[in-house]
Amino acid sequence: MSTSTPAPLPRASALIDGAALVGRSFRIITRRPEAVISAVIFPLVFALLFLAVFGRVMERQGFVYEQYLLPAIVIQATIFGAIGASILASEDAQGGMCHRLRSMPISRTAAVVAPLGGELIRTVISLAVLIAAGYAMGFRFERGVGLALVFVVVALGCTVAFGLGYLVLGYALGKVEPVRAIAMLVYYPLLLVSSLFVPARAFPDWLQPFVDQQPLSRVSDALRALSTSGTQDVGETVLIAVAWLVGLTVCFALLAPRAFGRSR
Amino acid sequence: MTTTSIPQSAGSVVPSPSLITDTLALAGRGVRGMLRSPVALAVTAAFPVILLVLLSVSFADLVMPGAGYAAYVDYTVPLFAAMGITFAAASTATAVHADRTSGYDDRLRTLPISPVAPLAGQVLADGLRNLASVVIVTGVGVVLGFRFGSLPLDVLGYFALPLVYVFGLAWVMVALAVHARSADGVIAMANVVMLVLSFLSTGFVTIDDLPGWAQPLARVNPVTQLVESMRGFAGSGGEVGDHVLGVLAWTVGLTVVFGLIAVRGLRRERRR
Repeated sequence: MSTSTPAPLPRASALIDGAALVGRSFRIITRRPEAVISAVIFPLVFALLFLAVFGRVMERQGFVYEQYLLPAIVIQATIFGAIGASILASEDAQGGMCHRLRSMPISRTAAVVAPLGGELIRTVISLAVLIAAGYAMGFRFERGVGLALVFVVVALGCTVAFGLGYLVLGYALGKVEPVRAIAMLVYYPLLLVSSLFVPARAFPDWLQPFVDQQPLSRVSDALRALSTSGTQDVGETVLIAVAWLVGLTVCFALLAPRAFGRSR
Repeated sequence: MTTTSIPQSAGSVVPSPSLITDTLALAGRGVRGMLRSPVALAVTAAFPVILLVLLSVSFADLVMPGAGYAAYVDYTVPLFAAMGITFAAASTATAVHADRTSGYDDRLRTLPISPVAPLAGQVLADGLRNLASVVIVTGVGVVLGFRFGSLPLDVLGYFALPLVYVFGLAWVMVALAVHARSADGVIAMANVVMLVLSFLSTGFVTIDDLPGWAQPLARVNPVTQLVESMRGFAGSGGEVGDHVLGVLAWTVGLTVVFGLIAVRGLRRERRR
């Protein structure tokens, strides 16, 4: 009697599995026209509209609005990417992909963060387009190439930190429609009650502490310090932003695998 | 003997289609669908309120330095009411697209109902949703500083004109939904167009604060026409007549052009 020895289980490799799953996420993104629209066209239209509508008003207050606005538009694009990750994650949870991934001998980490990986590629593309468009509108990296690179890294860090948070939301709820709604409900107050589009002092006094301290304002302050000459305390501003991003990343990186493991 | 006619026994009466009953039944279906979709409700009711509260608070001091928050809210409430119903119109596209692709339309066509009822029911249901949206935004606006300084008839005009405007816009959505293959793509594109219309208007800033190239666009923009009319009706603007005519002209134009496109698309669908 011969017993066939079972084939050795394939070893899980975070890198190889990660590349395969990130590729899958990115292919899903590229096959949706709305993904291209929200990654590139939407932030661009937003930039042009804010510039057109509020440019003169801001100029009267002594701001070069092209220079002030671009970091805000970049942050918008990075958060769009983060929200996209939550939608991919909720689709995986809803469609049974998470079940399937959990049953396979693959790296758990790769499975959890794959949607974010796909969105990160999309964010890199939209950053390139937005910065090029910003140059056409009059934005300049006034502090040189080195700090411009830090600018890009901080922006991508923003996608990672918030994207992990949105992954938790996507896996935990596991339904596309409520995830989309809650993602927006979290996003708009943070986006609008911030120093992204207008300086903090434009807000009523009782709101200013929140506007000053909240993470999106901190990140936008850092991006502005990195791109615009004349801002004080570049190092400190950037450090505060990086501390926020690292903190959020660690928090959500601990929660995301749990949410993935419990997803339906 | 074989007979091909339907036997007319005493018990089975072929129901005769009634425009009113059928429309009300289908409008009821539309309203129930909206009430049971919490996301659509949130978008309709919460989205313009969030924008009103947050955008007004951030730009009040920059656009109207020293005038105070309430004064800027008084200026912008018509815009946010207009934005709310403009963006909610996208859900008309979703609903029409879903009915078209799910076979619901086919089913309605086999029923002995008034042929106008499905569309009329959709229009009625959307009208109710839009009225609710305008009432909610205006209500929040009144809390924050928006005021009516005018006659009851003007107040009626304030609430009625947005419904007329969005009727024309709904035809654009129906035309898009009838011709589009994917609903999400259409909505994403429509959102961009509606964002441009909402911003390049006199909603946030006066026409003089817009750059030169945007001013002619902003003048003919239907959102400008609507917002200026509503300001006039609320008693905070000047002349109403021209802007009301502008809204009516846009509505008639959109209804004729996109109504034809929509009907042609639906006919082609029916032949298949």
